[in-house]
Amino acid sequence: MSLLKICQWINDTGPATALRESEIAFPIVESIHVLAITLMAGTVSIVDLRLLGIVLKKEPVSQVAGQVLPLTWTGFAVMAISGAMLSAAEAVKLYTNPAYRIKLVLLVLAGLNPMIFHSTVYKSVSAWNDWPRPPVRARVAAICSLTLWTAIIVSGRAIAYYH
Amino acid sequence: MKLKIAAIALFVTGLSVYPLSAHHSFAAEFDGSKAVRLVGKLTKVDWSNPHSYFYIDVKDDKGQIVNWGCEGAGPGALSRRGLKKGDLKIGDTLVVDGYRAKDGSHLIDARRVTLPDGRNIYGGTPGDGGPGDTTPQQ
Amino acid sequence: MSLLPLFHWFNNTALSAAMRDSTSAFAVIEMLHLLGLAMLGGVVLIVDLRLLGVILPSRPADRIARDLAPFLKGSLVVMVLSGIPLVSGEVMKCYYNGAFRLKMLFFALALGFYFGVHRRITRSAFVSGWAPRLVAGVSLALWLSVGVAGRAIGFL
Repeated sequence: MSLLKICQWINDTGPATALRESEIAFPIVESIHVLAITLMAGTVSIVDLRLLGIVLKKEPVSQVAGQVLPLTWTGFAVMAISGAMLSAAEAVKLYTNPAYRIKLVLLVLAGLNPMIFHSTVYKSVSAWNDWPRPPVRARVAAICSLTLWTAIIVSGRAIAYYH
Repeated sequence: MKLKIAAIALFVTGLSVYPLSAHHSFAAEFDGSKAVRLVGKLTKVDWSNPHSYFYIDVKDDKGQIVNWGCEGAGPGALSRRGLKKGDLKIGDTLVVDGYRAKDGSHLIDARRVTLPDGRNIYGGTPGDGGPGDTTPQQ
Repeated sequence: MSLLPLFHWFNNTALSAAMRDSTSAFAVIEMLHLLGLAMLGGVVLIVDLRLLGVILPSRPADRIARDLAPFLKGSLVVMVLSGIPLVSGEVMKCYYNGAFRLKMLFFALALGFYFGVHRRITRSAFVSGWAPRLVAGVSLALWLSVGVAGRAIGFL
């Protein structure tokens, strides 16, 4: 069962077809996906800027991360659900779309980055919690995060340009 | 870690040189100076978001049948302009006014579609002087 | 007062012609507009959710707002500098588009509200009571309206 056949099957299901041919639902789902970028990438950027020692330097890192990341996670859930719906509706078209494939790869990397960060350098956060400028490994993680989310947004937008 | 940064930098650079068929910028894919009117039989309808596509068989000046694609708005916008999915039947003769694709392919950005019963649906900006525009110029 | 002559003038500028002729300029500038939106939205969410007492309740609201203000203003600059070329590529379509007009109206209101009211409220460190919450609510509603109207442009 090839991946293309799976995409075709998903594409042809009732819900996916209904969304693809809808008058209002698709515009709404796509708009939620675009506007929720603020909730997901916008909020995590500010945590990254704290890790880089650029903003909120007087606020402890654990406070900024602890209070803002739940917003990021909520945003990620919204992006994942709306993204899955859009992907299902356009499954066949997206199968051959290079920007979409790149976006998926980047999403995996974007997931790995915080996992690595939280299990390594963030474990010692109490030692550098009040530093205006956190240790270099935290700053590297922040740059990776900012770069990855920027690239994901760019590749997501580029999807429309390949058909 | 460094490998990741390098890969990302490479991607972002690569994307900028990859030839883009920038279809969300009308003017990047379609030629605003090449208006055309096509008359042909409907062979296929792609009633989908974000854009719909209608394919018609058009007889060229040599008498050959050539299949053309007409890009239209999504189902929501079409419906608001008076066109519903069921209005189009395979085999119907349609008159489509639009702009030709810049790459010379058999694709147009459809502006006005005239159905067999005489009804027509206009998708352009009133007064922009484009194909199918009947609003007096201001 | 009709804005039609202004839009006609805009439509005849070199910028407009350049945007209409370019293959990739629109795409790249639109991506910048989207990245600016991410940053603008992030800052607005953090500051207003703090004013609502939803996040960072133990940290001073005035300092947070003041600290993030350069990023709010910077991202607004990005939005305007990218937005103008985007409009210039399809001036008359924007003129006749109801969603575009609404977006510009909400944008003007959001800007006016931010510079006229919002910044005054965030001057107190530990905001309490209904005033900062009301201001935060209006701010969020206005910016969200700009975003939704912007999305609607393409669907009308």
